[in-house]
Amino acid sequence: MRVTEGMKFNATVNNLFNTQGQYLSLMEKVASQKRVNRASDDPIAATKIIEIRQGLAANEQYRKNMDNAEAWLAVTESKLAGGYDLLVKAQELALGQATATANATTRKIAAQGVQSLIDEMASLANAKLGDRYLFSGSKNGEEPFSTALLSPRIEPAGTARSNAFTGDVTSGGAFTGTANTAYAVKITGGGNLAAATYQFSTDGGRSWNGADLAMAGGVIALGDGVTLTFDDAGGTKSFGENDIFSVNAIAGGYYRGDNDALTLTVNRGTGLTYNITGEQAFTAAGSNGVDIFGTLSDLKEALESNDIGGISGQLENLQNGQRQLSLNQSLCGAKASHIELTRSNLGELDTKLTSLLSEAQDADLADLATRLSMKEIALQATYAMAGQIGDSSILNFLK
Amino acid sequence: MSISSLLFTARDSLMSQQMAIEITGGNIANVDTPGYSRQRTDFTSIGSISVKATSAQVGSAIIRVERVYDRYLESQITQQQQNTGYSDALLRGLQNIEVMLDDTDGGGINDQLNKFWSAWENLSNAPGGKVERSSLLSAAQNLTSSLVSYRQNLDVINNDMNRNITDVVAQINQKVGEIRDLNARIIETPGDSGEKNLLYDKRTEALKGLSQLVNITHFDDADGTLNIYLANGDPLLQGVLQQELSLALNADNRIDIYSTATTGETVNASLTRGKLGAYLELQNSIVPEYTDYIDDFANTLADRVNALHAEGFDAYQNTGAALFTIGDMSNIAGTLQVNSAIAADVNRIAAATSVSGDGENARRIAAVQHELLMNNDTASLNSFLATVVGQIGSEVASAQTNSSHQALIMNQLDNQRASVSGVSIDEEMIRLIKYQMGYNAAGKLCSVVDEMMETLMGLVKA
Repeated sequence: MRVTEGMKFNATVNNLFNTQGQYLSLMEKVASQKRVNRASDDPIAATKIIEIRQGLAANEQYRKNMDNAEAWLAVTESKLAGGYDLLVKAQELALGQATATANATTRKIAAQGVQSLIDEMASLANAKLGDRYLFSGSKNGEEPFSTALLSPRIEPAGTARSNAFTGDVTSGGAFTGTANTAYAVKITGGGNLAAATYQFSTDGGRSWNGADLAMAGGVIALGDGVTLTFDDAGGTKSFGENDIFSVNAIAGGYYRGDNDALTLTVNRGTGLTYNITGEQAFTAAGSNGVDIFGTLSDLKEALESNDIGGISGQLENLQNGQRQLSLNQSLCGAKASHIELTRSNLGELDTKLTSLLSEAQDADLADLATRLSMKEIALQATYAMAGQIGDSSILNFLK
Repeated sequence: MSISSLLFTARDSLMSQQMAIEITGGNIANVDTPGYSRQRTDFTSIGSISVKATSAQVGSAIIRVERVYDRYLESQITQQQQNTGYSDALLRGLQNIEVMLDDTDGGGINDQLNKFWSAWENLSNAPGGKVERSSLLSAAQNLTSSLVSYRQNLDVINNDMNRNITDVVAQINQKVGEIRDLNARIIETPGDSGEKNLLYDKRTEALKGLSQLVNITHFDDADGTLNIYLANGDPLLQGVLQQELSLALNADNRIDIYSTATTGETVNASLTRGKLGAYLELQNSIVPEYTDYIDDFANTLADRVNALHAEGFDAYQNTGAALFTIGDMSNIAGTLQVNSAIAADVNRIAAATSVSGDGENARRIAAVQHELLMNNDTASLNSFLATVVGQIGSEVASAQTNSSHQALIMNQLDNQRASVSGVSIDEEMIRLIKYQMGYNAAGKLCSVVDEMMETLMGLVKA
């Protein structure tokens, strides 16, 4: 083979660049301690890395959610325990006053004691975490419990802020339902009363009746005796599509909140309801069927009126009320342990993901260091070669 | 036969050897000239003397200066240059896209997306929270501005391609012009002179440069001119008649290339190799592919989130307005924005599924991250982005392999060419010694003839 000067130089320069390129790439990996520095280093690993990182980010968020739920459950549990203690005190009072040794005066005094128990119970049941009521369901506008008995009523109609309709809306009727209900009306076709159509919801807007109804007369019945009356001022006020009107109906008793569940995502696809509604814990619709505020105020009344039969009549209710609260307490415990379990599962998953991430992305330093020093030797050899490239020539032998 | 004719023989020999030394000198001088083919002198004997019945050759002359090269090798190099130009330019273009999309270090759009989902979860924890609403707004805005900048970067790459294509087309026209001028000079130059060899070298070099730019076919005509055609048969150069390429921006802000040989129809389809081929492929299929990915992603995200958002209620009890607005359906990712009404008032974020204001709708929107919305309902939004990164990564990786493979081939061919046509100093030195000896010998012949003449003259005197 004919060897020319150009070949010698090309071979040297090409080899030098090759070795330098490999050396540089190893140096980058050592410096970043990463095996994959850009997607093309290992496209499959790059995809994996991004997906794993997303999984880790989601887990971090789930953990935050669980922190929130745990705090909420812990406070809820302590409030329920406080309520339990109050009922035990009330029971002690009632037992003491149901005997013949008590008299009208002691019962009057005891009645005041029960009143303070009621006030304390109300402050427990109206407790907040952050700016949300613990026992109010999803409603957060006012305290969920009143200390005075509420009669069934329909609250004034609410209009959403950006409604197009500026006419008057009034609620009316007599509520015959047994649970507090939030009604909503959504305008599905705009125009004045004659033209507009609507749908309504009896669960606050989660689901709708499904068919467009005509506004026509301006009075619409939402069920359980609740009506909304619209006045379009003789056809001059128009509805806009998606105008929302709402009205709350209270079934009576002491509770103004609703029975909505508050849910957090604690794992992929797993929601956890973390609230106990006032309805569940403190009303006759609860698990043991005891209206706690009703029982306490009945006891107070019996004490005031010196009614021994009435006093002893509440003893069973107080007992059941304690069970109702402790039942809900244990429900909190069960939810908390569910969270604990999820958390430990998540921790394991995290460990796995982290090790997968490290496997996909991190460089094996020992291996890299060895290869780097090997390349360094190769590079030095190339330099030595390059230095000698012009040394051997016929020119050396010509005088 | 006379003594004086011996002098002529010596003169011819001196001249031939001198010329051979000059040629050798030229070779040595051009040892580093790229594309230079070494030249060889062809000695031949001239003149004869007859003594009785026999005759003997006397004297020598150089009849031609030969250019040593391998036609097959040269045409292979021309061919491979097209691939080299293509794979290098393609690699660089893909790397530009990779840098933009790469998210293996974090901090890119995937992070923004994760933060967006987290913000919804946080809002579901505290549906009334002003802080949670504001941080959701900024997460959504960061996400849209990431998408916008992705899209803009792709547009920048497209514009770069426009510039590159414009440059390359100008270079092609210029190279073809150079070859046309060389063709003209080759026709004018007679014989097998060294000057003509120089022109051939220059033309081969220009052809190599040209084939790095675009795929061409070429053949030598009988008169020594080089004819060049595009892959579809449109001529670029026939003898000394050049057909220029011209370009025009089309409606998609991409460049169409036309040949003056045919009118009205773009020749884009036949420009598949060389730098130009790579740029056209990047501009017409690769960049649009990634643009479509980003647009598809943005559109699906906006559609799904908006649909859920519209089912929920904001803090004012209104149903949710569209969270994302798209300004221009032909540039979805580039015009994706957070609805200005919501940006102006975060209470308009619809976190609740009921008028009483729970955080359930926020939770539902956060769950969109796990919904299989992309790739015909087989991939989530997040994993779709991860796949896009994987895809550009593997395209770059395979382009790298191609490019280094191509470099290897070129290296091999260059070596072969250097072996055939390159200058070896050792060889030239030895030839130099040889010619010098010849020159010295011819000089000696002169002095011998001189002495002979003197002897002859002495005879006359005496």
